[in-house]
Amino acid sequence: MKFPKFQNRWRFRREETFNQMYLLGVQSVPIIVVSLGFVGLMMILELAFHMRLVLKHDALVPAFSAVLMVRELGPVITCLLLTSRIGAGIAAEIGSMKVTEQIDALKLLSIDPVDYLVIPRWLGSVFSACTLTVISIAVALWGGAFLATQKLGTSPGEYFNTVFFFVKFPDVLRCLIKAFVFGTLIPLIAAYHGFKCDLGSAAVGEAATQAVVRSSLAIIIADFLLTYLFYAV
Amino acid sequence: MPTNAKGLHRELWVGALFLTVVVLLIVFGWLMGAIGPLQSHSRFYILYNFAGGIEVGSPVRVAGVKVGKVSKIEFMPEVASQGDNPQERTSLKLTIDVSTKAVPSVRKDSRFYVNMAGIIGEKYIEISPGSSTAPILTHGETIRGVDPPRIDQLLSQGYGVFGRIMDFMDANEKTLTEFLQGMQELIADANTLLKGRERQKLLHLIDNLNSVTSDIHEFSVRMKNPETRRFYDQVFDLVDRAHSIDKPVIKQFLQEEGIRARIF
Repeated sequence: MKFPKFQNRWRFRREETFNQMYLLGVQSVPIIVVSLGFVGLMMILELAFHMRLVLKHDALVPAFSAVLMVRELGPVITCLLLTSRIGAGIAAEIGSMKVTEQIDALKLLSIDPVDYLVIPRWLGSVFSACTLTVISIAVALWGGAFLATQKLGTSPGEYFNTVFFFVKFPDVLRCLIKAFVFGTLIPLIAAYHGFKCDLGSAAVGEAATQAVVRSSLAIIIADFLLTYLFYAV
Repeated sequence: MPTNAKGLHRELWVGALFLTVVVLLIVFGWLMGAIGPLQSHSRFYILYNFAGGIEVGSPVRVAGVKVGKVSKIEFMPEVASQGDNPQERTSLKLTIDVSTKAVPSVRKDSRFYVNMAGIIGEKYIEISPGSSTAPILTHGETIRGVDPPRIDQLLSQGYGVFGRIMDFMDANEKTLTEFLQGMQELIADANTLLKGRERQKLLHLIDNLNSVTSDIHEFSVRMKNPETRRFYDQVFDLVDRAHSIDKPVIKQFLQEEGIRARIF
């Protein structure tokens, strides 16, 4: 007994998948590193200000900044940046393919457009979201350690000791689950807007804009739901 | 397989990114204590009736140095204690993993306290190093921990004591009021005395007392002098001899000498 449709739909397009991983993930490393590095620095300064104001003490700044980074800002900011970088690109690419009837051509060749266009981008996006989130957390922690050493008088050992007292490995795993969900939402929403794109170049631009806006919104709502599920239930 | 050099180049970059992230995750896991493939641990079981906020993952310290963590907490109300009181039953069994480097300091007579550190009160288990004569605790042994003080119970007891004080005060309100009024009047009188005209007299009296005590002190010091003691002995001797001279003898002496005097 053969299941040709099933086999076709889930065929792993290795070259295209690695290509998307490279385009979405590897090429996003610089912007993620720079952005999250500065976010880590900003968080140290801001939390130090608030803790001195309220508690007259800044010994727990590393811990709070790391917890916030791992549980929230790491995956959310990374995936919002990823959305602005790749969400618009995916929507515009698929939209322009639809406008130029390339998707119809794929169908004529009995190639499923979702299988051919969406699955590699989804795999690439999930890979990018997860890997970049881990890198962003590492960069933010190192940036925070640098600033805490320079401005708060905390030694690197003391900084990381405090950080890893409060941040547990399950937090990192939950952070990766968040990144996986966000990485799934970005290409799905972007591809949806690409496939639903009207004819005309203006419609392609509109689809790209809508993809970024709705992906960002979906990420923020999903973040709330996941945070509630992980930490409040 | 990639069909050209560009594809291979991209796969290498993707692989490098993936490997970097795997290494970072291993480092995170190692630093957070989730994985430690190169570390060896000894496992001990500690029994408590009250864990005081200890959680799975809470650190374990020996002499203040972090050497392990709490890996499991079980509710076991029927476990008999292995400590000094075998009849005692405890309700909690904590599993802790302690680095083998620190195990020589963990002895049979070590104490397992639940302590609090930091300004927000994170909890940890502190193991006090035991005496050198006690045998080292072996892997898998069960020990009775020292239950931390229950702040909630202290507050509850304090509340009870405060309630009883309030009851006593309510029951003896009149007596207490009179006592306090009397004390108030006494203090007011003393205050008036010390502030009014009598103040100078009191001060003078105190000065005199001071002077008298000073003189007595000086006299006492002089009396301890050897010369003074010799003089005192001589006077005593003189008085003793004079005591033996009675009235007829003195009268006869005066008559013989032709002295007329009215002495007695």
